[in-house]
Amino acid sequence: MEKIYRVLYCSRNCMEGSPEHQLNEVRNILASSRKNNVAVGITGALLFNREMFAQVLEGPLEQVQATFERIQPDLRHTDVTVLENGFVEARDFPEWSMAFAGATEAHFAEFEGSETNTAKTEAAEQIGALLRSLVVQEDAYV
Amino acid sequence: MVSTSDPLVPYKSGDLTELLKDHLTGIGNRKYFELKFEESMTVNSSSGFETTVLLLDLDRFKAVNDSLGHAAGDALLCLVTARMSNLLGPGHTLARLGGDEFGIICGSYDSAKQLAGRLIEVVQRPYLVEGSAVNIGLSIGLAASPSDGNTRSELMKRADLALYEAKAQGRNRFVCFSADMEVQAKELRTLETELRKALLLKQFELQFRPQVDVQTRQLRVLEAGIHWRHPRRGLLHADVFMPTAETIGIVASIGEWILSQACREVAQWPRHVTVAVSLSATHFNSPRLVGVIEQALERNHISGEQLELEVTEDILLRDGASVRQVLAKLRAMGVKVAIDGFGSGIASLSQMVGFPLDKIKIDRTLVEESHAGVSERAIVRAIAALGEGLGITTLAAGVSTPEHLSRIRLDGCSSVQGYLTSKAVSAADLRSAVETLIDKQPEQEAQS
Repeated sequence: MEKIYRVLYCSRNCMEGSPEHQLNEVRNILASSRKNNVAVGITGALLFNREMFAQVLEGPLEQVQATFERIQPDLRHTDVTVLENGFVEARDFPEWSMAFAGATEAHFAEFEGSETNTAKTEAAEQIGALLRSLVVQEDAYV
Repeated sequence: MVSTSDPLVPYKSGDLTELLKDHLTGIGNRKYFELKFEESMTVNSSSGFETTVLLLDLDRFKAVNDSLGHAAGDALLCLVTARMSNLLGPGHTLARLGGDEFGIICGSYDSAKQLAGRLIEVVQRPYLVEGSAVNIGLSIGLAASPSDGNTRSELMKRADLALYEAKAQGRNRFVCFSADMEVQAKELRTLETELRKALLLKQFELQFRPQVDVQTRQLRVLEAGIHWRHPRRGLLHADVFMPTAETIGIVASIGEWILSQACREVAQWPRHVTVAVSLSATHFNSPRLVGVIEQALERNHISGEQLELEVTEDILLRDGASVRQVLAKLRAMGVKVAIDGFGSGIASLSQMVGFPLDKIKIDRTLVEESHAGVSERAIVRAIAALGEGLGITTLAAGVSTPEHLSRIRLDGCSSVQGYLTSKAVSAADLRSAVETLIDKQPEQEAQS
């Protein structure tokens, strides 16, 4: 089996304009990333709110690195921080070319609709769990 | 085939020949950069437009190369090149000038500044290289014609000065050339040359600052400080030239001169007065240190007890084991060791107790009346109590008034230094000063 490399990063949202406009942008991001990801065997999830992006990319090392690099220069976000990177046992999002873990704030939520609520919750929980597991690991060192 | 007799032909034709290409990143090399720069200046100046040059240097690239290897370093250079290329507009030329240095030629100064800001923003974002997450930064210096010069070499020199300034200001930023940078650089060059000469011609002199026992008011120690008798500028304080001495690598030589002079002076003083010399980190780490001290003691027929070396806490904390070795050798010779500026840095009391010390000099920021408050006074009392318990002298630096002195006495410090107990004096004035500073000889001395 091929080795799976995973990166989790957070960044600050730099997009301006109405929630509606911003969500549209996110839909564009999702659409293009899904198209690209399917072709190169990448799966993952994207969490978005007014303040932050958090994204998981998982797949073959070369492809994850290339995808990560393509995302970096995007001026719609800034203060990019890699929270976790390395090889993992298995994919966390095997079913998703890019799961949308949702926009957590209510006034963003009403403009959503591209995902079923269940799927969104699941993805959010998983990305949340990943973030939590990192926090727990950090705590273990203290 | 393209004729290479005209160097401009290859890139006019749209592709880079082997001679003008950086083979790692695929962009132009230094030669290409120079040609484009020249061409751009010719075209722009004849039509009245600006040409701006940006010199770029990656911050912390060497650390990546060292920790992840050269292959990862090369991969990173390619990623950086691609990120930067994406931000270029029409008429911008990016080239790799060598190592982790890049150059960009563009038109108006304003658009160049905008570009510089974007480059820094994007280059500092993380990279994934061979599975590792890597962060670097970018420093940029800018200069433009006609405002900053009219020739390529002039602009390159000035953009380089601006780059140097960007790094000095803390890296990961861009700085535009200004005329004062050139003045400063020239002054620095002059200072460097004169400083080397000063070392050879021995234009230095020592001044001494007394340390006095709080209880008996007796002079205990004269602390040596170096000054430079500059032929044009007069007497210069160490702060003015020692940082430069550090950068040009002569700080240990100056330190050796101070040691030998201090030992020569102390040989002529009353036996109970010690000379103190502060050591820079560079000098402390010099493998010659112990030998030089041995020699200075021997040559002047003085015992180690008459010499006190002051070290800063960061010297002690840097490398415990080898520092301990040096300290042990010095103390075996009878030389006393004092920690300088204690309480101003990060060292804790418990860390300091681990080192063989004879004296703790409490930093003036904890002592001086102008800014030392209740909590500072509590710290001073704690250090003084610790010193007393361990049999270590505690000295309060920066004591300036009689009231201040009595407060310090209450706080438990055993020695003071400051203007109250006389200003620094030159070696020439020292003889008479020593007489007046010694209120009375210590009991033992008077009896012997």
